[in-house]
Amino acid sequence: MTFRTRLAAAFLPAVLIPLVVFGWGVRRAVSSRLEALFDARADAAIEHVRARVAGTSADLARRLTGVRRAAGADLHLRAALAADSGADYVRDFAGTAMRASGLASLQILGAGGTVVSSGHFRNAYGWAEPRLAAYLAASPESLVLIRVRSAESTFVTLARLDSLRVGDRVYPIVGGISLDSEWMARSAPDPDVTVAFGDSARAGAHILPLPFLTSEDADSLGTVSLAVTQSPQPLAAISGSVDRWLLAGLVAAALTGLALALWLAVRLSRPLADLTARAEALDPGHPEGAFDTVRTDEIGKLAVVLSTMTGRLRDGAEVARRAERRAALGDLARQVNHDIRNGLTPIRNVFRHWTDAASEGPTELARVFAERRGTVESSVAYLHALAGEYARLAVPGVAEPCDLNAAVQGAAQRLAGDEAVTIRVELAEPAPVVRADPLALRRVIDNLASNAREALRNGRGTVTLRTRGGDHVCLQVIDTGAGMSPADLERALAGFHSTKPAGSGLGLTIVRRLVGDAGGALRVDTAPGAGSSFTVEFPRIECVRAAGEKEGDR
Amino acid sequence: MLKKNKGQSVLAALVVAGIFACGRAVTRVSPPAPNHFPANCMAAGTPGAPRDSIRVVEDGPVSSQDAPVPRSGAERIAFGLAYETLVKVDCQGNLMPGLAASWRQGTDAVEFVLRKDAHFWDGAPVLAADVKASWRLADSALAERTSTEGDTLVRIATNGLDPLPSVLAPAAAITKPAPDHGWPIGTGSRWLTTPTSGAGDALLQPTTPGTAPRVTFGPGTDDARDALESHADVVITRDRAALAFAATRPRFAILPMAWTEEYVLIAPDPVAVDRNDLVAAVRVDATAAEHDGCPATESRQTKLSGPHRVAYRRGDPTAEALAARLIGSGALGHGVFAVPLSPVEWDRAVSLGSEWAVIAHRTAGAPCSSSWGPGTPLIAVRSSVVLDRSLLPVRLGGDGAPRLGDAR
Repeated sequence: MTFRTRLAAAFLPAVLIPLVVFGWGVRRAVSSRLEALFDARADAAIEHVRARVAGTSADLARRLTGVRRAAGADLHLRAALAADSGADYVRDFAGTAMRASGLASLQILGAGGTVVSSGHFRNAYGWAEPRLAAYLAASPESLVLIRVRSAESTFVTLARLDSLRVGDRVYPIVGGISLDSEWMARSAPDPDVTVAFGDSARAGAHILPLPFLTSEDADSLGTVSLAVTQSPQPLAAISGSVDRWLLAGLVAAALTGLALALWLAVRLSRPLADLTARAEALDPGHPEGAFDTVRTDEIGKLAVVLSTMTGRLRDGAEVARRAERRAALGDLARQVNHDIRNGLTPIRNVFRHWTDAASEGPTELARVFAERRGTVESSVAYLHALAGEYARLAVPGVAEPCDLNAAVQGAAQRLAGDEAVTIRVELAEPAPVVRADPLALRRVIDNLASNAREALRNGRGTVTLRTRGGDHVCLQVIDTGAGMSPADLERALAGFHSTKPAGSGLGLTIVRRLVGDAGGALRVDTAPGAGSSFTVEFPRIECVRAAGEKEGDR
Repeated sequence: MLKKNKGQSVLAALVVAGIFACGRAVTRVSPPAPNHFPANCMAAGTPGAPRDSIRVVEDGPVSSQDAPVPRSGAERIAFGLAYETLVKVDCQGNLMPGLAASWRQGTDAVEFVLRKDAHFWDGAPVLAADVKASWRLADSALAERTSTEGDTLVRIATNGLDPLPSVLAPAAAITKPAPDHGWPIGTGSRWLTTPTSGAGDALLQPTTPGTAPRVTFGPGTDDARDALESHADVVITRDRAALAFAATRPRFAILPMAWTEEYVLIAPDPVAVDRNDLVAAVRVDATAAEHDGCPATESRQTKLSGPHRVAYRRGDPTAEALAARLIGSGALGHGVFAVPLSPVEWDRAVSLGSEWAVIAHRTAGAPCSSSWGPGTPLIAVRSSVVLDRSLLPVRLGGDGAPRLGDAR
């Protein structure tokens, strides 16, 4: 996960969590407020319904007054009631008056509460309602709901009591206005409120209890409730709207936060990426100015730290280079020492030979002198050339066609002088020619030959110097010494490792480097107790062509 | 053995039995209430000036769909003049010649000889084959028992049953279908058309122009008293208040027709009812019924079920008032309601017996229901003809319907 991704992932919750908490709080507050308004509106609706009931009751009272006056003014009715005759007229009167006054029920009661005339149930005459008038009279404000019945059904009316006096008879008049669905609908203060008969168990309903009497079983005055129920739809709609807007805000904030997080991540990570690019392009040799910046913030401080670290690394590298240089000079000194000793060793052997010959007489000395004089001269020339090479230091020698057999024979002569060591020389015919610096070639052969002789156990053994021509020109130096383990061989090739007390440990290292400079390869076959065979392979083809060219030039 | 003009007392019973005859079987029963028509079947009065036309305010539509079976007082007047059966009865139950000039009853058949001048409205003579063809459409059972001989002799096998009630039934009037599917073509002295002007439901005209006034039948208002105060010549009503009002108008004479309709309560258990109280509870001219109008021996099933309510056919205020009074008086017990049924619901209830109790209305000549068991007779109802006294004297038909323009 990249730094930018982590930054964006951390930024999003930081934006969203507070927003979610805020939204939840807002929603809770809105819901609480709406529910309070909901309850307040229900209370207002109850008051509205209460006023509607009172208004209906007052309207009913006016209509009953009209019925009473009309009945009192109807001489036919008065005559029929007084004479107990004209039954049809009396029975039809309530129906006519009910329809004319717009009432839903109307009864004229006679003695003992017997129905004399009924508007809503014409043929119920003779029906006994003994306690109806008494209940209505006893009701506070004469406001009672009555379940009345017709031939087809029952219905609930808001009823009131009035009375008609004919002579000394009093006829109670019970009229009612139907509390039907239309009345309920008109009593609702707005379309979201429903008014219906219900009970307190109805969920969410507000109750208006009213006295209630079932005319058919009027044993006692009970209670019926008008339930005012509000539709939950508006509340749900508002809550839904709040939820939708909160969700929209959340999504918008999330998108904005994501964009902002990405922008900030890019903006914050860009200097780091710039520092990374500078670090990747840093030149260790010239680190100056790589981390220069004008920023003073954390990035600027980091750049300063990196610049300081780079300076320290640069100083450390300089120290390392100096140490390396010193080490190289030491290597050079040891190599010079080794090469000089290689040049001096033949001279020392010749002088020892001459000393032995002088003890045997002048003749012998003269002969030996003549025989070994060339060796001394050759060694002196070698040292001279070596001195010239070191004088030129890094200037490589000039490669030229060399007679490999001659180089091997010279080395054999320089190695001779020790009777315990058998020097065997096997030369290929015709003589193979290789292209190499002659001094380097001598150093290769002398080093290998010297190592072979020194590797002989107790100084006794055979050293074989062999050349081969053909497709693969090579030089082999074989000894019958102790041989080397692979570890010893690896250390010998690495340098500064010698099994001899006075050895520099550089012989094989120098050989391998010189062979490499000549384009050849060094192969070693050795094992502990089996002696060693060092094979130098030369690129013959070039040598032959170069030698040919040389010869052609001559 | 032939005997013309059989005894009146027997025929009176036959006529009434024919009025209440059921489709499957005929049993002589008593009328729902006795009628008191003039002995000479004439409504007396001082003859007025001849009239070219008479306007009748009907108590129900005069419809070609009903013809020739009357379902209202107006149709009794109209169809009584327009359609003929082979024989007929007068208001006293006397058998009278109709389309048949004579008849005789043998041991195994009754033979009718058609009137020689009998013609359909379109002028075609009425042949014996026309009689059988008419019955084939109206009463297939009667047609199967009928054979003809020549153009005028119609023979009806008795097969152990007296054929006269079937012959006297309004459905046995001789008709033939009209080409335009309108009014069936009858053989009476008047013919029926539908006024093209839209003034009324039916127009009754003499087949011989000028021999009788034109009679126009049309609807009135809901209150028959409005018609009595208008220029109507004849008002047919059963409303008690309207009849009482008409009685206060000297211009009108009131001619009650026969008790041709009856209301019966059919309930699972016998109900004790005060019929006189029911008569007072309705607004029509009614009397206490003495039987249910259908034979008590008729095999009928009682299949009443459903909630405790009493059903009646919607649009019948008399049935509604009867139901209300039965409930209001507590005769049906506690918690019973009345329910009006639409015609479709009513037919379904009749066929399934799906109501607990019903108030059935039966018109003379209509078939008895085979779905319900014997009922409790409630009231008998009749229509009355309130007519201008200038139309008197007028002859009364067998059901008391005045034969307007016929003073013979």
